[in-house]
Amino acid sequence: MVHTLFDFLTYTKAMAYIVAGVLLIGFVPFWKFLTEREKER
Amino acid sequence: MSLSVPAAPSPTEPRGGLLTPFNLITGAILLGGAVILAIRFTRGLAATTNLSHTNPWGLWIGFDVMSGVALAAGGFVTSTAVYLFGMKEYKPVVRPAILTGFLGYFLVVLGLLADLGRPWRLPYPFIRQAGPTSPLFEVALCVALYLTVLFVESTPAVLEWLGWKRARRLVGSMTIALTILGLLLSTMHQSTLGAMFMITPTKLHPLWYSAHLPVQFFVSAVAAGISMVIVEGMFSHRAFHHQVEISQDHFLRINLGLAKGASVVLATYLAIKAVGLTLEDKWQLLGTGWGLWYLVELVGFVLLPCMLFTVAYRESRLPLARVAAVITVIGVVLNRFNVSFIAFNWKVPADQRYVPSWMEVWVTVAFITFAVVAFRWIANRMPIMYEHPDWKGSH
Repeated sequence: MVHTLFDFLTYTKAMAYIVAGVLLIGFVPFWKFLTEREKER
Repeated sequence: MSLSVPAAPSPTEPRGGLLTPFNLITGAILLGGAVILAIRFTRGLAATTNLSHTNPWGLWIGFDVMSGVALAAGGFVTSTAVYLFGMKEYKPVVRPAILTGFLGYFLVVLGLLADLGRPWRLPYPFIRQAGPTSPLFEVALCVALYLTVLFVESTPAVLEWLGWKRARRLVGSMTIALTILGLLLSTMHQSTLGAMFMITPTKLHPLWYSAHLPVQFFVSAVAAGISMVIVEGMFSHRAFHHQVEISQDHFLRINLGLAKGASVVLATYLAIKAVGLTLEDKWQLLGTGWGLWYLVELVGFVLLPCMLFTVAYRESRLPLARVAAVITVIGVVLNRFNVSFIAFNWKVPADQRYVPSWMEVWVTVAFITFAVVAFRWIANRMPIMYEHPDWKGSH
């Protein structure tokens, strides 16, 4: 439960770290899918 | 397959009669626009627009300025790629992109002149009241300077056409400096256009209002710029096919390379949006009516073209890249509309909401038509789509 600004910032920052981590990990398969056929050309 | 190298068209070469369907249609649009502008400058904004004290910024700012600047980003994106990052393969698209950028920024100034209540005060930020702490001042300064940079960057084609070799050499020697200056100014004012709205936390809907607006505006402008180069190439490659001297294979590689860049930029934009929503704890707003509209923008005009660009590059499908580019261009315009007047004043009662008048729409269409006519006139005469035989391989 968020009661103070400090709580809010701690919560949102923690969530942002998780989201950013997921996005960074997700970028790897995205890049692989994008560039997979470059060698065939 | 290599297409034949065309001879530089002579400026005196006849180009068909005046009464062509293209000339008649564009002439009618421009004439109508001129009449409306005459009414606007003689009878005021109230006679021609639906602007009010509640909604002082409308279509002329939302499209002509906000969208125009973003869509003209192809100039700095391509010139930076070619002259600073050494991606010489993209050189054939630099001149059309810079010309598009110059005309786009010229229209921004025309749009501002039409929109400002007292247009003769346009130079005031430079000569009377600087206001250096205002984002609007930075936008004014950067747009004025970047328009000048784009003008100088466009002059090599004019000087080659005129045969002024000494002046052409001088401008050519300034290419790197101009590119760096253009990149610097673009980075500043593309983002500051977003920063301007950070003064409106109570007016702009929270889904669009964000501390990350400057970054979002800059990244989306890069996507818009790349997409505009693809869209512009789609039309000009057909219209000026007799001038194009690169091979079809090279043209395909350029467009697929742009598609790859656009897919990564759009993915980055999505990531920035997701992190922004998380940091500001706004995910729950997606379940509202405004949230659905936000998702239309984000899923339909960012995620979808991102996926289309990715598949287009992966499978070398140019038509798919073109579809994605058109969707991206529409998406960036929609985003600027949302920020500047659709999601702006979102709490205002429905009867006080801003809807552009038909005259505002006509003037905007007339400005776009003017840019198309000017591009066509210049590209028909000057070495835009091809390299001048005397200056092959030079900047």
